[in-house]
Amino acid sequence: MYKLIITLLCVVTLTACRDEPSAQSEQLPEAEVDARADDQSGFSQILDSPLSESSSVKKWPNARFSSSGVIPEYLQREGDVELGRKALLEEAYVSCGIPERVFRQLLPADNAPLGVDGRHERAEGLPYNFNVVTNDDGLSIVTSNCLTCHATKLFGELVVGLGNEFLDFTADASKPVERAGALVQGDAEIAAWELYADRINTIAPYIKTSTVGVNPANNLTFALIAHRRANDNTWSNQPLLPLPPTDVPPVSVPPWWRMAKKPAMFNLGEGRRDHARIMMAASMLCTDSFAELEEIDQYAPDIRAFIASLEPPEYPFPVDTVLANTGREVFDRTCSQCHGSYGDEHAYPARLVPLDVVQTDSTLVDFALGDGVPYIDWFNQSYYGQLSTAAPGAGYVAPPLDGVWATAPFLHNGSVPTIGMLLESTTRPRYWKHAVSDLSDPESYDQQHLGWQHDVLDSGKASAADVAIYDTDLPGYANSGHRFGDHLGDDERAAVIEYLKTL
Amino acid sequence: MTGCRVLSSKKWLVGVFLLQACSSESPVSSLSSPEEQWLSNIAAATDTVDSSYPPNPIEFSTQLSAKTSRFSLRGIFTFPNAAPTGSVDQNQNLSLVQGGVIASLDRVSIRQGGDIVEKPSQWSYEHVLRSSILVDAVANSALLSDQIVSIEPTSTVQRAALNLAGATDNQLWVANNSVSIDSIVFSPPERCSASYQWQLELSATLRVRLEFLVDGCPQVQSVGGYSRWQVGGLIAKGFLDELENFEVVSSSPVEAKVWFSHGWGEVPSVGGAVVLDTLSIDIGQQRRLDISRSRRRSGRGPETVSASLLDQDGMSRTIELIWKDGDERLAATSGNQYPSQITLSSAEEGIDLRVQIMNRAIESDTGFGNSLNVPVVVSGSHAGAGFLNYVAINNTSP
Ligand code: HEC
Ligand code: HEC
Repeated sequence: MYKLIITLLCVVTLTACRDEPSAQSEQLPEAEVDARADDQSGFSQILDSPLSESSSVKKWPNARFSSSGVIPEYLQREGDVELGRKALLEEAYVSCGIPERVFRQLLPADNAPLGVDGRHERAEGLPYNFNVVTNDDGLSIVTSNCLTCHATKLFGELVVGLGNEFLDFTADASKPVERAGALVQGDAEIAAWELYADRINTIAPYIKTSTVGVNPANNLTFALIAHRRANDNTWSNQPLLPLPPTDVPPVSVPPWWRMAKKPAMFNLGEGRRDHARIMMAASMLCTDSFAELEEIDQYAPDIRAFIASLEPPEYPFPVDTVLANTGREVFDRTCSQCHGSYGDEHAYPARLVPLDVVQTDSTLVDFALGDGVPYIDWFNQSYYGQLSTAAPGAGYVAPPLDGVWATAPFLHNGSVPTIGMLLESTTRPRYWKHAVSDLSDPESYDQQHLGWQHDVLDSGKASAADVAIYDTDLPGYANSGHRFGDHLGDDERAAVIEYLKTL
Repeated sequence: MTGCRVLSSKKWLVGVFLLQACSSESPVSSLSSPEEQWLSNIAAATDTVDSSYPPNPIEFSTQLSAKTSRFSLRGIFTFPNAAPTGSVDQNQNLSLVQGGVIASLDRVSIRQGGDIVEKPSQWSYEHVLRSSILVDAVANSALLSDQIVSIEPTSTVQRAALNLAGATDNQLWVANNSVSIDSIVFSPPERCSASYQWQLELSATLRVRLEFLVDGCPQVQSVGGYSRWQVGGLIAKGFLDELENFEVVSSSPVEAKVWFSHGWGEVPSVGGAVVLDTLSIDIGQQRRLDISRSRRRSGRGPETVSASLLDQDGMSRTIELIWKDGDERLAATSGNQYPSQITLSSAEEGIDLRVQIMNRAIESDTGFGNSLNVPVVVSGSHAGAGFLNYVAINNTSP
């Protein structure tokens, strides 16, 4: 009860609320509003306008922005971890899909897909990233779940929470769905399929990436927002807001276990306040009424609790502990002010680092503070905004580095193939591509530099129309910035890398 | 000792290609004429039913008896264990070792479900839904094509295109008396890894015998209960026989590039919310374009086009292609309207084709709704011919 009231207070006042203030945050000085003056120790505040105010912002009174600094913690609604896992794998938070009968026809006959344990019998034989649910017509349909992007088969085992960096969004998403329509039969199936196909068709141009492995989730959400009314969440076939660019900015999928520490979701720290409600944005494809959203909201806190309970997979190869200990010292000296400290007495500062400090690709920030403002405005006045706030910052959050060995490629846009390259910026390849298409083989891992095996190329997409090439010359794909490892000696760098294996 | 068994049914080739050594085998010299051996092979093949099916490839034999210039479909298509529906499609491009194309054969047969036939593996002519043949022969350097469509219970046979071909009840023939394909036999002993033996009667005086090996099992793709595998890039070796009064007067070695696919199982019914138009055309140089286009019955949503270009090695790759219906319409007696012309283009591939429908709009009801099922000729960047299946959209869904 006490917690609920605090949450409500936080909601009403939009102030930063901490569940249990950590020792470290208490030592921090009071929040400073001007991030330009932020000395990296102030709080990251939610502001009414971005720091360099542009005229367009006035048109969007519900837009909020974050100053850089330490992101405060927000009280989260409590949830049940086990129920959360079940809901994640069984519920209809994505409420449209392919009729189950047809979906099963399309499964390969000779080898069973990789499933996931511990869910209801109905889902028997389905791939882990699909749920089977019953729609309003009583028809059994198969819908894609969060694990499509948020799970990876690693060395033969499914790691729930590890972002899939090998997904291919380069093809037109509507084509396979249209083709599946040839197999549906009868009114209920046709209606279910056509709803799904219409929606996929609407968003398809905005989720087609130019490179395999990068994720279009942000653009996907913006395209759906553009077709929804904020006041009642209903769908409009005609877009009501400007549509996002079809040049999809690349995003790497962060691992879920970071949510055990992160007070705000997403790269720009924009997911403030109630996380469960924000995660529900994944329902935006077909959930068209408040009533349906309310149903999902019943179990959304459980899903959040499950996500926050996840732990990273342990580094499966040998670690030189002596070297790792040396690395720890270097890390604590050079990295921990942003990334926190680990081990028994761990602390995570949740720092939103301004762009001019981190200097990584600015595309996401430029968009969030420019053409993306209408979507922020929409979010904050929608059902989602009742408990949460979208407030992007003019920089990137320094993430907790737990399990970072497994999350290559690195940076928010996945532009740097290994940690070795991240910590020595001159070695970052301008053009590269994955040397493997999945991670079933432990040999696909580069134990020296921490990343997946890849090939460095001489030329980019300009000379070869190959969707596998990661071309850092493309807008949004730059591998610049984060040069915090450049000044390290080779020994120090090797030691830090060894230490990172243990996180 | 499966290997030996295979070999024994293919003795006529042993001496020539030294395929696999099999010590217990009697020497080639002990065999009678190739003709006799061939016939006995066919007999053996027809009787062999592999109960491990699926996915054992089909047994497929036709009678050899008639040395006519007609292609006859009176033979028996045998499907082990009577999978309810099946299809076989094969393509082979023959070329003389010295070069020069002799013939390219492409054939698709689809059997519709129905009675379980007496012999568990028989697929009789009445069950053939569609069988099409494209023959590109040096004999008259013309592209001949024909198609037969038989639909239960009416068993209509659609006359072929190009005014070259004819069909009667259970025969399909390509005119001119110049080309006939009389017999195709393959008798795989194992599911896919096998040696296959084919014989084509190109004319009364010309015949090709071929053998090729599928080494290993290609990946099976499936939709619903229907599975299919395809393998390309095979080299077949054999002989081109010249015949006089059915006797071989000369034999010269030939080599062919072959691709081979096999499908079996229940073909899912299509056309509920989305119809698929299909177009398969031979564009010369032993290349084939296979295209399908989806259209929603509701009229909403995008049309999507999938196209693949099959090269002379049987390797296919996906290409981007634009399909545009011409404005001019053909009206079928049912009132359904179809375009009389289609254009296909792909700047990247240098394809810019005008597809002309050859027949008046003769509709067939394939059980999946009305559609136009006609031969076409193409002109423009390439010359060729093929078949179109164009679905009438105003059908109620099946
Ligand atoms: C289409 C792929 C996709 C799907 C499906 C998807 N996500 Fe995500 N998710 C992403 C990407 C990409 C990000 C990073 C976005 C950013 O920060 O810019 C992300 C971020 C997150 C984060 C924040 C992680 C962090 O470190 O800040 C959480 C939590 C999350 N997703 C939960 C979910 C849940 C729960 C679902 C299902 C209801 C879901 N996601 C479905 C792609 C996806
Ligand atoms: C001034 C703050 C700061 C310092 C100091 C810093 N980092 Fe970072 N780090 C960041 C930020 C911000 C990001 C995210 C940048 C982005 O994604 O564009 C990041 C990203 C990373 C990532 C990539 C995480 C991922 O999954 O993509 C790694 C690994 C990392 N840092 C390691 C280090 C190490 C090791 C050091 C010390 C040598 C260090 N960082 C020093 C701010 C910092």
